Amino acid sequence: MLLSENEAQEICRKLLGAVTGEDALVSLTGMRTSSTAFARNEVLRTAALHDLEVSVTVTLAGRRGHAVTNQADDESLRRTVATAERNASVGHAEGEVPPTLGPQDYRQSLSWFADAAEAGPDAHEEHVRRSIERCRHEDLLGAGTVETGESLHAVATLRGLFGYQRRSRARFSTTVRTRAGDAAGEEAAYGFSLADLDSRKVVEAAVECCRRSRGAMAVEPGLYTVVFAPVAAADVYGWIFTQLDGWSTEVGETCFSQPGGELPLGKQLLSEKLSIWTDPEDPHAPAAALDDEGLAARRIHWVENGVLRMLAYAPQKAVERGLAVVPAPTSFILSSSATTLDGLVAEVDRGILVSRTQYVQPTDDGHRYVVGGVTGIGTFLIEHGKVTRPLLNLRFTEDVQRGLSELEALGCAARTLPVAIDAQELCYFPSLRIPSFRVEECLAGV
Amino acid sequence: MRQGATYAEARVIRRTTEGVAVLDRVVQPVRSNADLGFGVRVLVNGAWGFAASQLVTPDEVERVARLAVSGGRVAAAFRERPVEFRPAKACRAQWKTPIEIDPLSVSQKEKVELLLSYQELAFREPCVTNMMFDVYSVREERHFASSESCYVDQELYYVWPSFLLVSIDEETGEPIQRASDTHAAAKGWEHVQELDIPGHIEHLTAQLKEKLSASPVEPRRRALVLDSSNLQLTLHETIGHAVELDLALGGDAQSASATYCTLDRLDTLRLGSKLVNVTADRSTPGALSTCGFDDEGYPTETFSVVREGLFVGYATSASHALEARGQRPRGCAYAATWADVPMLRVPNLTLAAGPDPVSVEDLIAATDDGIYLAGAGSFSIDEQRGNGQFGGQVAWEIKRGKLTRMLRDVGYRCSSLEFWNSCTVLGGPATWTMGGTLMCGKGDPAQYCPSGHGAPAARFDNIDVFNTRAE
Repeated sequence: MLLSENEAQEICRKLLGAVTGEDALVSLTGMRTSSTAFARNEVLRTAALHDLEVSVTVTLAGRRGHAVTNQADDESLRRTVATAERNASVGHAEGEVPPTLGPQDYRQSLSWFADAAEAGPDAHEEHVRRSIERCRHEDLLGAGTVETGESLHAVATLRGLFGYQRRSRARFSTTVRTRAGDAAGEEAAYGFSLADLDSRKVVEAAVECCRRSRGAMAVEPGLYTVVFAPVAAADVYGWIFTQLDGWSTEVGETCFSQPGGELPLGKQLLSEKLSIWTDPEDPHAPAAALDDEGLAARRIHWVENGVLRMLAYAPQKAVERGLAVVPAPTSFILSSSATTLDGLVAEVDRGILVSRTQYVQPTDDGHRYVVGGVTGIGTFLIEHGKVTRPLLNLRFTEDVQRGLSELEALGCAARTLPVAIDAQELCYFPSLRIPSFRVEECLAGV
Repeated sequence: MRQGATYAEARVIRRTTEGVAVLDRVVQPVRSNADLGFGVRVLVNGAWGFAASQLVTPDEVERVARLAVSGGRVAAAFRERPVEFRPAKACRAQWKTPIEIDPLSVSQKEKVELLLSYQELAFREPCVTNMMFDVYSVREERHFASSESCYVDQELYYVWPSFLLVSIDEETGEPIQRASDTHAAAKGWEHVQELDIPGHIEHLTAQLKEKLSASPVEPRRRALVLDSSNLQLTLHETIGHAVELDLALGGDAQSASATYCTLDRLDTLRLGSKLVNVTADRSTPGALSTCGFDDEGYPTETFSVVREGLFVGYATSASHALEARGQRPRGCAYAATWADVPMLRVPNLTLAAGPDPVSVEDLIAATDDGIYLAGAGSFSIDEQRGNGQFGGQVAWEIKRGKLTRMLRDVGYRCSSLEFWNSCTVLGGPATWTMGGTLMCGKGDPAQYCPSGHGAPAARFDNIDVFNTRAE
């Protein structure tokens, strides 16, 4: 079992009680997960994990030190605090060290469900069976993962803050391929409860995609109007999230950077169709109630109708600049519409539908808004408003700001885990129709 | 075993790490991490169950073992045939990374002073506006025991010094970067001492200054002379992962993964030109995959992957070898932490240098129209490992056998097979270096493992060069 709120508070109390420095931040991160992995229509293994991380950051004579352990016995806790204080003693005074936070008012979202938190391999059976039996019936090869579990995050400071949040999670993904490997389909569902995993819908979508993918053909490199399904859109255009940092924008590292380091807040920099926000109370992608420093999450509009409204500032940079801390968000919600993928496709005379992508990365570490990657399973040609032929995978390069400035239409949204975000927090991303998307070359695979 | 398992293994791993960093002459908070836990994997009714916990107590061991067995029973209901697995034989063995100085025994004060002195060297060059220097040290104690009476204790060490130099382009206000070529190694603190870091800083600050006036590359096909520091990652991504047997068998936990090195192409696929000889091992001193035994208790070994351009060998582990005809375990299982299931990972991968003493300068002199590219950059590769794109740190135009001007934003795209078959000249042994990463990712859920890759400099003809900023 994960630590209860009282148990977490007791450990935090012990940690803070051992601190001799003038300030301290302690946090606990717990995890309990269960997963079932399958491939080739057989279960490969089940896995169960229980972990706890105890983190201590101490300020001692204006210098900070940090230490982490995953043991919570009294001796380990004392040793970890002592290590953090020893580490602080070798540091430099960093100018004005931002003080830790005092008590906060947290908005708890509805993101913990007992069915997912407590689910073991038995609860995965239904989903795995559905995929395997369907694939066997269609003479396809199915693979995938069911993962359920819960996490806790607790933060406390010497200034009286204590925050605690427990969240559950549930994920089902499946990939189906023909035995010849010439066609494939992929689909996934993410959520906080087992009720979010509609495995019947997921499996049928993957099988249908595989059926439509047979006989993939090549297209010429060039500029195309592309309709992105939400997962693919998030993996390409989710890199915009990495640009929403104030300090990086000041020093010229983001696509929003201006000559002289001026912050372009209030300027129209993306399509007026697009808004981006964070909200701990959103039902689709609720942000964590507290961040690593214990700061309470609130609804923040980063981009409103294409106008840049807010940039994140970490505590140290905020103190240096005399600004309020704006926590770097770990989950985002984008504006969307009720238009289906078919609706977005209907407006395209000749273009491409991209359902999945692979390995989307910045092409240059210094400019993380130009990305390259390969389209994945479910790439189709669009002709006269209809999906007509499956396509081989396509390599592409895209300037994320360009795409989000010129986007033609937003469609229906879905929960996704964009590759640009490490935090494994769900985002709610729309399908997109983007003009003049650059296809560099056509590859051999599907 | 009392619960009905036919095979059981346990791993207890204690991992201690320390990160010391200096940014712009200011010491950053030192990061210390102590991590301990255990994992239990069992075979029940021909299926795998796994469970792990950070709480190492007798009661928790009992609970976790029961959990692994009950999970295995669920898995068994979905198997048409039992898992084919040949456990490691009974043994009692120890292995330790040969080190001279335990990196965690070096005082933080000494590390901080050294890093500050490196920063002063960098800031002698006025164009350097920012510098981050980080040293990451790791000690791992890995204990393996199986129901076949195989007991292995290993103590592994890693050290990773790295730095980033930044300058500002005064015209555009954009930061220009040069990341170091210093790589992680399975060594003690002597790794930091053996690297000529002051010389490297001097060399790279000069390159950073030159990069400020570099010209954007014009996209088109041409010859590439790739420095060892650039070719290592390309080797790892286009051949390393491609020869992992689990991918050839139809994927493992990463459901969309596959490989162009399919089972029917073993011993027949012309993967590269006749010059291309690639070997895998876990014994090269200092290389990141080097250890005595894998995480299924098998001793490690050296084997050919590509011989004179022909694909001849897979990286294999006991969990997968018996599923493919003619394969046997080669000690390539790796569990990233106590919380992870052992996964098949490509070990150290090395492209052999050419037999002749060909230098980088010789490769350039033999090139009429091309680019010389050094340092590792961003990369992207498809799930079949058949087509990738790679960047770098610094590049120069080659015209009629000479370097003319520095270029920026250079990337190259390639089909893996076309790329390796276009290898026309290999650098000699003096151009060969071993690099690698501590963070090679694979699987779902993802695991990150240390992986070494070594290569000489080499020339590749008619490669598709693109501008990484899409200009």
